Amino acid sequence: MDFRLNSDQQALQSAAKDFLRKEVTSTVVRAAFDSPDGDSPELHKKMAELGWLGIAVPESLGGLGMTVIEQAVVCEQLGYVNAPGPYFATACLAIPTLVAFKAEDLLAPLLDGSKRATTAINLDAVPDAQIADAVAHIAGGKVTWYEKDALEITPKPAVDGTRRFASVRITGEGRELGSSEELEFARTPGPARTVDVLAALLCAEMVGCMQWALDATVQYVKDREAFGRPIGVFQAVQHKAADMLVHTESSRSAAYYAAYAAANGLEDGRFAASVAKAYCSDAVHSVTGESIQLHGGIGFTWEHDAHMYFKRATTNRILLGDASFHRDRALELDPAR
Amino acid sequence: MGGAVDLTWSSEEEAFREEVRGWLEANLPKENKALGEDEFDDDPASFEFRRDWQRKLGEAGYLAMHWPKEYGGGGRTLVEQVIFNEEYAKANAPQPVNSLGLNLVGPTLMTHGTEEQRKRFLKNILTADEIWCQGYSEPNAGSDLAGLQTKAELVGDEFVINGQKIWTTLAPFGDWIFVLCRTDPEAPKHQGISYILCDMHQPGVEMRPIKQMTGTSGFGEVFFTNARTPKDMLVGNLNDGWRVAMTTLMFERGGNILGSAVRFRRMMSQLRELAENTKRNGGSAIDDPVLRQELGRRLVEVEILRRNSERAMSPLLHGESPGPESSMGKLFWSEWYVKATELAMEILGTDGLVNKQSNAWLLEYLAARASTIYTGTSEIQRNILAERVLGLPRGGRN
Repeated sequence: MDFRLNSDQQALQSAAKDFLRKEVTSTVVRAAFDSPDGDSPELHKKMAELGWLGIAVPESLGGLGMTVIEQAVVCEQLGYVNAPGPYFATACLAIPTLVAFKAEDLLAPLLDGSKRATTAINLDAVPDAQIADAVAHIAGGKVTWYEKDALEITPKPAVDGTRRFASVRITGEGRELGSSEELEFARTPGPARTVDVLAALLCAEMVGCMQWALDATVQYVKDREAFGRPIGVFQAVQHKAADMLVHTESSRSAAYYAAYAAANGLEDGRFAASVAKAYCSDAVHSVTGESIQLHGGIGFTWEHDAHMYFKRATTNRILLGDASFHRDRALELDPAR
Repeated sequence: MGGAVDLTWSSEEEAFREEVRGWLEANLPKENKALGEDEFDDDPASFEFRRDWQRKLGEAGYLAMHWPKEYGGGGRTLVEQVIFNEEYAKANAPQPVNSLGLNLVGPTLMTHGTEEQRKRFLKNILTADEIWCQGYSEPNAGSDLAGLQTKAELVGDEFVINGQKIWTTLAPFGDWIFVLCRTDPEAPKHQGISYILCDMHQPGVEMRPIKQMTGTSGFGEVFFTNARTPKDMLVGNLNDGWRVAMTTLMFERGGNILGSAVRFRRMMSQLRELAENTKRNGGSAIDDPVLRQELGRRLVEVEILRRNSERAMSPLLHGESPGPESSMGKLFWSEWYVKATELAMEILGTDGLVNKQSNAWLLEYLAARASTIYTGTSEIQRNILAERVLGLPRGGRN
């Protein structure tokens, strides 16, 4: 019994942290945020070189052959720096979709970073389709793969400049991959399906987002003085910070348990994913919101990074099922029923 | 370290779990006559029932799992304690009656006590022949415990104690009390305090039960008026009682981290059953969209309580220091308890307002209001998280 990362996972965590904090500075994020399409092509290429597009992809399909836990470790660090670009759409939506259907030929260009893709559940709002070369579309019980030339993609102005949406119209032929079961949230208990894995990874990213908001806030309330003292001495401030900590750590427990259950094919995998997504969706909103509150006026400015994390939180809490959807599903899947 | 995050137990550990489960099945009295937690249990029949149960646990070697064998304990590893406590909570077994003796006084005497003190007290703690109370809080010292005023003066070979303790759990049944006393009134607040053991059966000690909002009297006030105790009842050094008291508090850690997770998971299942079996708007309460979402919140939180506990326990099981998540446990479960029982009352409607034997939720609902206060209020817990985990500057306390 040990709920801690093992030494290899800790090494990966620390390597991801070092790489991302050096490469993905606030300047890099802002450049993408203010760009026409939210892209960050250089960063995406570097991550592909590190093998991060295929962390949990089996070696037989060209990936690193690690587990969902290792991918969650990297997603958490990506969340911490609010990494822009198509990594989430490609590595956490499209690639797991292709792995579910063992579409090796389609995977190769995504894994080496030469192409980027996304997965569409709702064609009116497809995550980062404006910078994708292909889209996996789920409809009518099937998943179909469309290359860009078979689609008409219209970017939408999105709240989060680093995670945008586009509407997609299908104008050409696609390639049918198989039944969409893996990409639907099952209402019966069982091991995680692909879509539960996607939810777990999104939760790991939200944990990183919360950790940044907590760290930035703690530093600010230690430094900022009012009434001749750092505002961190005031209990009204301390108690909000304490709640931010509880939300962040509890989210971490839930996200990593969901990743663990998925990695090991446990019977409560679907349940664990809904528990995590229900909790993290609320927690990330609360923590990034309180971060703005505790920063005061500066927190409401465009110049401060807090708003970019709040906007990412706003997006992530809705993606892949919001909290009320997953609370309802958790009640249905509860193994102790 | 092993291959990956691993939440399974080894086959030896699972075998021990089977042994414990089998013993509990065979030995747990069919009719549980215990009223509830120590904090609310003032019924003599319930008390004697739990005393007998403690003795039975002791005979089977399942009492004081964490004490070394030489002092009559189980001499078990932390892993075994964790497994035992998990099974114990699953079986809904009643708490041993001398909990403060077992969890606080015993370990404190083993760390700070003299050999004579250990010989004198440990055996009777295990057999529940002497019931222990904790003399910490005072009318003007609760969260600010170091502000305590009860005085002890060394007169000849005895300490003479004067003052008052309050919220003393088990006081109506107490035989002995460990008292934090001020022994040097000139010293700074945290110094000049001593940890002294005192017989409660003497003219200088008067106990008055306090009727709680539950209607029961699980705690009381203890008045000391020239109460006397031999000077060798001092634990640790004179004026070093604050340090002794703090190590005592540390003993509440570790082995039972999973206990509340298991207990509240069981309560969650009962809450769900209640919602399924209660009529609302022509259907079940669980289908009411608002109540259903609230149930979902409690379910999600109780699962996270479990995962937080496993995380908190992990470093301890491997002989390392606890991480930040270990300080959140009490805050998280006590606030869950309040919200879950509140929801039960909402589901019950007017049925919940009737104080009858079958309505255990009403007692739980009232009892929950103590949980966010005892062993450190939620406010103090948040101060601890802010200052000791997040490193924020200390606030208005010194």
